[in-house]
Amino acid sequence: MMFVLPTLEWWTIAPVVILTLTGCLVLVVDLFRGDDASPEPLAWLTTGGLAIAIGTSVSLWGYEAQAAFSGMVVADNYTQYFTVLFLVIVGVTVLLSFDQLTKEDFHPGEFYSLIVFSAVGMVLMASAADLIMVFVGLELLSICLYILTGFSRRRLESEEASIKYLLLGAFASGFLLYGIALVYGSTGSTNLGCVARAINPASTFAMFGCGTGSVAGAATSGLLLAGVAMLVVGLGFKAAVVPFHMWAPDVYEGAPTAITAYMSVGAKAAAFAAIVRVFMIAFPTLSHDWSMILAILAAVTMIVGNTAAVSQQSIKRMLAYSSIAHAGYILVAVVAASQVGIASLLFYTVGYTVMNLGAFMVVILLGRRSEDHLLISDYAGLSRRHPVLAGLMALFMLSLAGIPPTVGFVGKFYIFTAAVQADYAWLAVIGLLSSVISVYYYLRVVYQMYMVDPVAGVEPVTPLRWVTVAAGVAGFAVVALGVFPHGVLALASASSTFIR
Amino acid sequence: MWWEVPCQVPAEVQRENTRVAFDYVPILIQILVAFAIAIGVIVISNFVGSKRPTAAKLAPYECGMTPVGQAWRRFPIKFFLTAMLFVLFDVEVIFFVPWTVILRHLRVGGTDYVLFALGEMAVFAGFLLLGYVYVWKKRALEWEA
Amino acid sequence: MVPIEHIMVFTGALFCIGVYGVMARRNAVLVLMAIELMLNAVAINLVAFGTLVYPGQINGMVFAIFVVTIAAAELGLGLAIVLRVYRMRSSINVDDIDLMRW
Repeated sequence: MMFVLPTLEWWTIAPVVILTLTGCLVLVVDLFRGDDASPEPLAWLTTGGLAIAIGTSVSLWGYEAQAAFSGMVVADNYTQYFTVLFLVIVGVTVLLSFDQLTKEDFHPGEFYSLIVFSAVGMVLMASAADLIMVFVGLELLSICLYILTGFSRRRLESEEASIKYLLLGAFASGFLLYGIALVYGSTGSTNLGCVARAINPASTFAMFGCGTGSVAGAATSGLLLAGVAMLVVGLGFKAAVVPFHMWAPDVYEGAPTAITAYMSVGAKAAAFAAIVRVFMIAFPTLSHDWSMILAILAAVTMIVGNTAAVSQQSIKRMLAYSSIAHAGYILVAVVAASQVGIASLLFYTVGYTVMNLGAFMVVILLGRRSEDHLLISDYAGLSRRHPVLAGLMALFMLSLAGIPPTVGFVGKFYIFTAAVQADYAWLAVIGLLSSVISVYYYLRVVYQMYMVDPVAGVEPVTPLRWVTVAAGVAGFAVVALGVFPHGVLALASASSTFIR
Repeated sequence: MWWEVPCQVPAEVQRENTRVAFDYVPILIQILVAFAIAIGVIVISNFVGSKRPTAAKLAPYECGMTPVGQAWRRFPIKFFLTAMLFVLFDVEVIFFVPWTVILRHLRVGGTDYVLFALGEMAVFAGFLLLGYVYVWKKRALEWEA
Repeated sequence: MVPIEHIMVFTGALFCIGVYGVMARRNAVLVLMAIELMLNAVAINLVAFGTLVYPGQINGMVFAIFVVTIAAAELGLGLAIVLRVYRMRSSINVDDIDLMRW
């Protein structure tokens, strides 16, 4: 048997290695501490590991794309862009969860190591150059999230959300895997670049680690198309795209609020990172077949997400449907299937992260006594009690609705422009119309805060200092990115060069 | 700037897009027909059929057993915990088997890769050991807790 | 040798039985078993493709190993959560898990 030693370019996965070691370290350190030791040292340990990983990832920016570990992962700007985004999200989640962690006595060791391991999964999804890696990263993320969702042991809803997420998530994984198996069967490879070459020998994605040797060219077949369709189901589930979104509202409502914030931005961005890689690298030549399907899914997602959000009473549930609708907007950028489209997707992901995390920060600041104060009617007269928080919440709501001069407006503008350029004007029109619906329910919160008299007897809470600062930073970023989007756009554009 | 990148969809791709949209019309028709038949059958049977429901009839068929709950006896929780831990560690053996099979081929080709393979396996086993230490310290292995 | 078509029909049937099980079963443990059926169908499919269609390649086998281990992790976790649900509610009927709706 001929054995070729795989070359190990450790630097390509340096952030993953650092994160893994951080997670293990947190777990071990926690084992050798008392049962009621403060979670603070672990939080600092986690944050330190995240900071080192972010620094490593930033220092890897700008290198030529390189596949590593026999074409399993690829390190390029796209990877680093998403890595930094994911790790910042995880860092914010560590900050947001701290209060709930101490009050509801979560096990800090497990909590922090799980959240770090889920970050490993997300980074692997963004750097995957092989369907095996997509699957492993997705499962690593999902398994950690199943546990984190059920972390509020005192609340039955949390546990219910956990089992619903697990049963439906595992079901969707089955579809994803069957899709991968069919793609492998019809193309003879699981490497994204090799799959592309098997479908169309002219395509060159050498940077994805597919050798120049001949591939088992099977061209287009029903088997392959069935595989692609199942990949749409499996990945669409993770991104909460209608009609695979049924889990999202329940899971978002039941999970601890910090984890809801984490899932609504982190897991969604990771799912789209993988969707872009899989569909843009492996199946660009099949785009006639999948772009119409994805376009219809995007349209349905925007319409259903926005209309269902209108009737919600709980702010977490409302934000859950809103995040479904935003998955629809992001999917429009995938449908555009151009470099411009992907650059706008990358930009919108950042913008959506900032505004959605900001909204959740305000929710957490107000609902401190373990998951109360979560109805929209609880926000009545907030501007009298907490003028600053009310102002920030109004800003985040306006941005989510896409009103200028916020990042929500700029991001939607670029996505819909890309859609029109790619000849999907009807999709842009549906997007615009459905975001008009969204203005109604976002402004309902603003209306409650400013126009409705406060309920008697509601005491103001003392806001947590660091979360308030973070919300202020998010509010600043929402406006700053809305007025000066060019810096992030340039990064997004440089990250999407792998698409031709 | 990025928006100055010329992005024009070639005419043949545009034609292709519209053509594909028409290609899916038969599927759409089939979906409609399928829905119509399914809904029609339900509606008709609702009007025509006779209904004498009992609890047993309404329960889903589970191989003749009563579906949920009653067949369960109370077990000590320790059995489940130990069984689950066993399964998790047991399954990891699947990674050792291919490794042992390939290990003796690693000397071929002039270079000796055995040390490399041992190192890789040490990393893998190290992570498993970490899990074991975790389980141990959490006292999940103690029967009389 | 068994032709690949037979195996594909077999795994397709196995997968569909799993899908049916997930949809029809009310007992959470049986739902987990049905999911395991789906994942095993995929593993068989991968091994079959790897040996029959692309002999000499190891992708299929390697992937099958990953599928088996990750399925074990997922279902181990699933059983743990089901167990907790049972202790809190004394029921593992998925229809009873309905605190949150619309």
